[in-house]
Amino acid sequence: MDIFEKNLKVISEKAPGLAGRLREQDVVPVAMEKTRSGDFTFSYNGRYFHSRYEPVKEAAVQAGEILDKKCDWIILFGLGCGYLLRKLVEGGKEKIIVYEPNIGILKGVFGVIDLTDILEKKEVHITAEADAVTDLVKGSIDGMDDILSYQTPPYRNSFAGQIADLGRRVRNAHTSNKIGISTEITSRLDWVENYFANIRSFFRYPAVDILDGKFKGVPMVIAGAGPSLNRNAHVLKEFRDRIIVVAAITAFKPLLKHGIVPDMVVAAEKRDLPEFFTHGPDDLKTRFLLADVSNNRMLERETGGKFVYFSPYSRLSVEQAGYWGCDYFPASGGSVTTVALDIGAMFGCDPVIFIGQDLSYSDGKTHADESFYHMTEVRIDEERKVVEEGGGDHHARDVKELFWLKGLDGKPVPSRYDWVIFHQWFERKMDLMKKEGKGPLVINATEGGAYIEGMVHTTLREALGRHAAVPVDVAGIMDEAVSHRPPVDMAGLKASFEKALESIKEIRRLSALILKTARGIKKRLKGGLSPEFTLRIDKIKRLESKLFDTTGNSAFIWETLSAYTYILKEYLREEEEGTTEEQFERNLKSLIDSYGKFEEMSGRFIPVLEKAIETVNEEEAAMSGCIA
Amino acid sequence: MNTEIYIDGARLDFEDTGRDSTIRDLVRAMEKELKPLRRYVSALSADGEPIAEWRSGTGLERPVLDCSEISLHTASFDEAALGGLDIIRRYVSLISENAAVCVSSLRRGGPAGEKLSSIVEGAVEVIRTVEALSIGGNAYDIDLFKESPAECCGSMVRAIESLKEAGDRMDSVSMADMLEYELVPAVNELEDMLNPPEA
Repeated sequence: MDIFEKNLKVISEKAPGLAGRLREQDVVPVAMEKTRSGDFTFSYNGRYFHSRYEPVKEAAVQAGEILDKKCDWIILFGLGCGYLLRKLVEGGKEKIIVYEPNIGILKGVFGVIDLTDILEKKEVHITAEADAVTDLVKGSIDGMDDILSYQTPPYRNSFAGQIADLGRRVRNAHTSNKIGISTEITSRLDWVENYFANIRSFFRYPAVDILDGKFKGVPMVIAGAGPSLNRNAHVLKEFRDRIIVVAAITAFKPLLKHGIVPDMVVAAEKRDLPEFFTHGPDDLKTRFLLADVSNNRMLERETGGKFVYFSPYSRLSVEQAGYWGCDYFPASGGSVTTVALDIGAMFGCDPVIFIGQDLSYSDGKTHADESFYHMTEVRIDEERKVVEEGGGDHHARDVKELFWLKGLDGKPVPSRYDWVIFHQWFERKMDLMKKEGKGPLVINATEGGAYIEGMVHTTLREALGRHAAVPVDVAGIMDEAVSHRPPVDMAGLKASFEKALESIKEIRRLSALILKTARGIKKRLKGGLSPEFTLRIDKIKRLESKLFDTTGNSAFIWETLSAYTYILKEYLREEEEGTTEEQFERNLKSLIDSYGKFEEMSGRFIPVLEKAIETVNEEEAAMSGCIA
Repeated sequence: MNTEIYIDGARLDFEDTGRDSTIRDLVRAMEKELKPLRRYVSALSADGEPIAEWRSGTGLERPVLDCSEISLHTASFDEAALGGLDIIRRYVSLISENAAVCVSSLRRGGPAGEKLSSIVEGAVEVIRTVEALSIGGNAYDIDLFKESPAECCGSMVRAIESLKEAGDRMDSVSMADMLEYELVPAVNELEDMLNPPEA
């Protein structure tokens, strides 16, 4: 097997698409030259990418610079001949994502240099697609990890634009990871509690997938609450009977101001949002589409009807959705309008048209008129690269990092990190839909704000004039679907809760045993480290192993402990200091804290699970009563 | 009017029999006399005014008889050669030091900076000095170099030209290569060739 095939064999295991592309005839390999030391170099666009004399020595200088810095992951822009990559791995850095912007360079290099031993490393990734880097950052890098991006001078001089673009992507993806952690810490426990609090509502309101395919070819307009909504929301009136209008909950009141009562309002907030409701007749004309982990009061509020969607990121939701008659989990990019796009595609709507999806600040505003946030003042400080949001309904000034996105007219528009994340998700989704060749036509009829690659950009009037021709009875179709809701699998649901209850009781028992053993060690520690501790530590290990096995039947317990898990991770990242005895004592304290949390959390959810079982029994009895 | 000629402050008996000699003729005659003593004319003044650029021929066409006084100053070629060699050594050291810094910066993506200018200027100065010493050495039959420095200087000139070309196309790798593997070895080789005259 020649060198090229050897390299490709390894690459095809991690990145089959890249291996396939490298085999294509139209990819012309860069010409490789022997150096004075017998290694290789090449030139591209008139520049040499490695020394023509001693490229390995040169790589050592570059590696030295990187190895001196503390980082968890390295993103290497440009493989070159792989000398630097090898030096980094030899220097102990084995978490590396290599992005090579030129496929011809990869083909030339892989033809003469055997990099299989490096590429085989589990956490060394190579790609020629910027999107894949984003995926790797999101999929492989923890939000708590530090990332170091590096490129050698020839790459810096030859691919400046792409480096800046990749830098933005990596930063956004990592910001997304960090937001993910922040969400985990601040929301996971609430979501689990909300899910349990919503059980009664799940009996009342069907899963949204009962509408699967019910709106084939019907144009869906998804309204966000961006400032531009003021410019074109009124157009909806002219086409109202020929479209289905879905509003983000923030866009509900702004649409009402324009005389549009949406067919559906989407929300997923973990806290109650009474300020977004009218508490009047318009609420009763509108159906609400709510995440299963939304605040229970949102599901209990009186509206024109409700649908529930189950969340793919919640273990309880994934485990139990089937019992509620649901097998659909919408893809989400972090906002309800991203969820709405996926749901629109599931409904069979075509096209899906966005309005008020500015994803940017506009006219000194964050949101449209009548939105809860419409009084928010915005001050952009380009020099400090921050945005201050405040005044109006904000009690305090909120300082956010300033981001820029390409605007509809090609000029940059100011944005903030959460909008950038949504924007990134939309573009990825568009790209994915294009690659898969399925899904509706997606039109961005937002008349302001950011340009979204992959969507068709036009005005709302133009989009609706072209696509909204046939009247549709949205309410009738929904009512009809609701009347055919599949029954809840009572037996399955009850068994699931009972199994979780049994498991959580066992977790509490095992946690208590571990705590008792650990506290016993701590008490005797004053006399110094003793061999008898080994037996006790072995016992803790056995109990831990049993406890982890038990959590399989109540995996949600991990989600309730998310906040604590991150504290523990932070602790584990700290350098060990002090004597062995001091380190042992610290670890013991951390162990006691951890299992203390386990004991507390399992104790907290035992009554919650008992209540859930009771609710299922009551609903079952009520249903039997109805049938009888 | 008789012209008074002084050499290193001492009056010289000089008679311009043809009455048409120029200062150039006077200097040539003096250098011919000085050569066996391994000295040369280092400075010149006429009627108390220094002739600044006489080495390039300026001010030498004036007839001797037009001046009332001409002063010549001489210097030891050996001393001058030692000074020239010292200049080369100092520049070689400076070039090597600055090149190391510059190469390290270029390899890591930093700017070449002011050090690069000092390296190029130093190398040009070295080449000029070598040329001057070679001419002087030939004139006084002194081997100031163990072997001909021509090839070395040729390498240096080629390295400087390549360095400039690489800079123009923002090829920092080639710039670093030229400095590290062409220019610095060439100046070091040149330093090894230096053959100072015995005191």
